Amino acid sequence: MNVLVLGAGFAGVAAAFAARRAGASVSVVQAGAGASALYAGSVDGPVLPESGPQAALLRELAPALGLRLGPTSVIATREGVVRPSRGADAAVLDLAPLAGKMIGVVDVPRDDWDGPLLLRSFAESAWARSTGTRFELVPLELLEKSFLRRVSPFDFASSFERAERPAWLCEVLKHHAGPDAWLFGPWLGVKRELGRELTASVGVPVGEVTSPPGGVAGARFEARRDSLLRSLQVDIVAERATGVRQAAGSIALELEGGRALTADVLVLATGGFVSGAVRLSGALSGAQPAGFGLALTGLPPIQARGEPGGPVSSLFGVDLAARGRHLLERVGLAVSGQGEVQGAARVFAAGDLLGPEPPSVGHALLSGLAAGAASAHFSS
Amino acid sequence: MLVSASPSLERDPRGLEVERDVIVIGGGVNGVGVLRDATLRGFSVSLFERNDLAFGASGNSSGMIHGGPRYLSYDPDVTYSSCLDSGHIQGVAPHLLFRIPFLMPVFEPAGLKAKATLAAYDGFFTLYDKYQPLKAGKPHARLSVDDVRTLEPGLAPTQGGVSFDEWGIDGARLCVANARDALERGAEVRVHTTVLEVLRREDGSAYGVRYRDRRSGEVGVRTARLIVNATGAWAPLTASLSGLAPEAARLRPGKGIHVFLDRRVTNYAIVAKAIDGRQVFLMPWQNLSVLGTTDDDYYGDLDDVLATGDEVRYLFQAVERVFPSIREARAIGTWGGVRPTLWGWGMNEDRLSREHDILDHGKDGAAGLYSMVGGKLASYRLFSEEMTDVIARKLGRGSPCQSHTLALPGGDEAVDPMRLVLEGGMEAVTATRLEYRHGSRSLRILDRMRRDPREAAVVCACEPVTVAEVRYVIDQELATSVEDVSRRTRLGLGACGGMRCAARCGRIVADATGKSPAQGLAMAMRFLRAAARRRSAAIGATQARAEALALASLRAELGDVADEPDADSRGDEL
Repeated sequence: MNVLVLGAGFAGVAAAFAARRAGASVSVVQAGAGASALYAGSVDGPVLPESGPQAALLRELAPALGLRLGPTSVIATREGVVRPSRGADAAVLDLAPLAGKMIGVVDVPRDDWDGPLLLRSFAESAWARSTGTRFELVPLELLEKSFLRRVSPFDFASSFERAERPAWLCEVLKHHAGPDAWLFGPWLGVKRELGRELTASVGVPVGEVTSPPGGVAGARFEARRDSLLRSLQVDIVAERATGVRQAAGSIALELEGGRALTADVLVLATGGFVSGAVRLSGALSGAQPAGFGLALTGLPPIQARGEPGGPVSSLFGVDLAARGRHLLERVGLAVSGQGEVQGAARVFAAGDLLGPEPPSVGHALLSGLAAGAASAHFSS
Repeated sequence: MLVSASPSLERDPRGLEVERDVIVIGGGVNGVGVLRDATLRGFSVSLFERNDLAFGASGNSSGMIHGGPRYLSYDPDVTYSSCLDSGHIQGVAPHLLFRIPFLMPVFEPAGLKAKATLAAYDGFFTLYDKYQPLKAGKPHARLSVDDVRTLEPGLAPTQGGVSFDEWGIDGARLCVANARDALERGAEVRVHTTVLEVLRREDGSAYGVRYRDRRSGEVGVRTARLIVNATGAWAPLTASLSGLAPEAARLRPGKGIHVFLDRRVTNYAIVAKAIDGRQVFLMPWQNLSVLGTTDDDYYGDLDDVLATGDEVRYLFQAVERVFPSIREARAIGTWGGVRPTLWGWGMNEDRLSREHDILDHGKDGAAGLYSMVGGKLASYRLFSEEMTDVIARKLGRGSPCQSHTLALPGGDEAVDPMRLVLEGGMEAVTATRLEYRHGSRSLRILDRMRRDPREAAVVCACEPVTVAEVRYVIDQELATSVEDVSRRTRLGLGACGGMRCAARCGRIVADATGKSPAQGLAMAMRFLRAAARRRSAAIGATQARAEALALASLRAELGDVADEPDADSRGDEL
C-alpha cells in the first residue's frame, strides 16, 4: 500500500506514523509552515485514550515529538493563565504535582517577560488559590549581555544550549535553594532538552511556560518531526501541491513543479489550511456526500450547517453571539469516523478543523492516527 | 461693556449655589477645546464624556490640520480660518504636527486637456499659496512628467502634477493634551460618564446635568451656570436630553472611513479621484499608509461606527487607478468616524458646509444651554475660542483668550530623541515616537524608566510603546482600559493587530487600576475582538487564512478568559 500524506503538522505526522506502523510505504508532501509550527506548546482537546490501538501508537509517537501527555496536567501560559491541559511540550512545567507547594518564577529583565505582573496573575489564578500553591519571584542574572534583553525568545532559548551554559544554569538554581520547582519563560533550549537536564541535575522540576507564536515550542516540534520521519524511512517531498486527480485504481497529487505523485490513497492533512484548501460544492446537509476539489489558491465560501460564515477573518471577525462560537472550526469535510472523505474515493482527511470540537493538538493527533491507520488498510 | 450675570444663574431650583461656571458635554476636540479655553480664562469647568476622549470623529479623522483647499472654490472663509488656526496650533503643540507634502497628479491622456488641467491646478494652488504663510506652509510646485516619476515611481504614468503642503496631527493626542492641560489647571474631566439628563428650571433655563458613571454605575448631579453641548454627531441626541426636540441641534452627519496599510508605499500624500468624482487620498503615516476617505450620510449607531466592505472597495478602486500596486500591501485595520456636518437639504454630502455654528437654545426656551455644531479638526481652537467668548459675555467676566499663545502640555520645549535613547536605553524609533506623542512630557516618562529600568521594556513592538508610556497614560491621561491606552499610544494598531501586546497591556492596566489579572485579560480580549471586527471589512483571502492560524495559539494562551463576562459591562443602555 502506498500512502501519500499532504501536510506535515501534528495531523500529517500522526497519519504518516500510523500508516507506516500498519505496514504501508509513506510519502509526506509539505511546504511552508502551518499552525503546528506556531503552536504554543500545549496539548488540548479531547480526552486521549489510555487503552486500545490508538493509545499504543500515542505512547510511542508523543515522546518522539517531544510531548508529555497526562490527563491531569496543569500548565502556565505566557499570558499569565494557569489552566488544565491534556499534555504539553516536555519542557513546559506540569504544575499538577506541585499543588500546595512553592514555585519559583524566574525573573529576568527581558522585554518579553513582565515577571512581577505574571507572578501576580499566576498567584491569583483560581488553581493557585484552590490548591494553596504559592509562587515566588526569583530574580536571576541570566543576561550575559545587555542585548539579550531584546533578542527573540527563540534566540534566547538557543543561547542556553552552548556547552557551559546548562551546567552554569544548574549552579545558579542550586544556589537559590528554596522553591519546590522552577518556572522559566519559554527559553529552555531548542535542540537540547534543557528542562529535562536541569530537572535531573538540580533535583527539583524545572520547566517553562507556553511559547508565543513562532517561539520555541513550534521550532522543537519541527526539529523532532523531521528526525522522526527520517527514522521511519518516510519520503519527504518539500513541494507545494496544486491539485488532485483521480485515476483508475490510484490517485495522483499534482505538484507545483509540474510533477505528479501517484499513490493508492491520499491523506489530506493541511490542518489549519483545510478550510482554505478544500473546496466544498454545495452545503453539507445531513449524511449527503458533498463534492469536493482542492482549491489551494483562493478561499472558498465557508459554510457551517448551511449558514454562510460571512467575511472570514478569525474567531473575532464574526459576530460570536449571533453565529455561535467556533464557527470556523465547525467548517469541514464530511468524513467518516476513520477520516474517509465521503464522495471522494481513496481520499482521507485528518486535522483539527474536522469535526465540531475547537481545534487542538490532541484532536489533530487522534484524527491523524485514525486516518493513517484506515488509509493503510484501504481496499477498493 | 459687560452685562452682569443674571441672579437666577447663580442658584439651582433648590436654592443652592451652582457648583461650576460651565459644564461641557463631550470629550472630542471641540469639547476639550472649550474646557481648556474656559479654564485658562478663569472659569470653573466640568467635562463629561460618555466614552473616551477622542472617541468619535476627533480620533477617527484624517488627522490633518489642513487649510482646506477643497473648500477654497466654494467656501473660502473656511480655508482662511483653517489656515490661520493651523498656524496657532503649530505654535502651541509643535511636537504633535508633522508636514504632509501632497502630490496631485494629472492623469488625462497627453494633449491639450492635460495641459489645461495642469494649468488649472497651478492656478488654483497659486491662489492657495496666499494662505500658506498663515500656517508656515511651503508654496506649491508645478511638476513635470519626469519630476513626478522621480518623486513617486510607483504612480501610474502621469502628465505632470503639482505638489502642495499640509500639516498632519494625531487627533487623539491633541484631545488628550487639551484635557490634560485643563486638568492641571483645576478643571474636572469625567470620562466614561454619560449625561442622562440636562436639568432645567421651571422657566426652562438649564442649570446642570444628571450623569452616570458607566463603569462604577454611580449616578450624580453637577450644576453649572452654563452648559455646552459639544458632542459632535451626537449633538441632536444631547439636545434631546434637555427635553428639546433633536432638531434643535440639527446636523447632517456624514460618515468617513479610512483603511490602514501595513507599510509606507509613498512619501507624498497622493490625491486620486473616486468613481463618483470625489477626491480621495493615499497618505503616508509614519511607517504605515492610510487610504481615505468617504463621505456618506449616516443613520447608524454612533457608538459603533464600522467601515463596510463596500466603502473599503470604493477607496481601493480609486487609489488603484493612480497607484497600481496598492493591493500588494496588507490592510491591517480600518477606522470610521462621523462628521458633525451642518444640516443642509438638496445637495450631496461633499457640498455640505464645513463651517461651524453656535446655537443658543435660549431661543428654544432653554436659556444657558448652547450647542456647538459643524466644524472640523483644523478649526477646533477657533471654534472653541468663539464658544468661550460667548460664555465670557454671558457670565460677564473672564480674562482674554490664551489658547493660541500658551503651549499645550509637552509643547513648551523641544526634546532631542537622542537624549531619550542615551538616558533611557530606548531604541531610536521608540524614542522618536515617544517624543512625537508627548513632546517635553516624554522626559517625565524617561524619569519613570530611570526609576525602574524595567519600564523601558517594549510592550507593543509594532508601534513601539514601552511599559513606562502605558503606565504614564493610565496615571496622567485618564486611560482605564486597553482600548483607552491604544487610543493614546497607538498600541496594538500596527501590523500584528494587538495579538502580541494586548494581553500584557491588559495586565498592566489591571495592575494600575486595582483590577484582577483575569479582568485585565478579559479587557485585552475585548480589544482584540473589536480590532478584528474593524479589520474584517478590509482583509483578503490570504490574510483570512493567516488569521485563522493565530486563533488556536491565542486561545491556548488566554484560555477561557475569552468567555468571561465583560468586566466593564453593566448592562448599560444609555
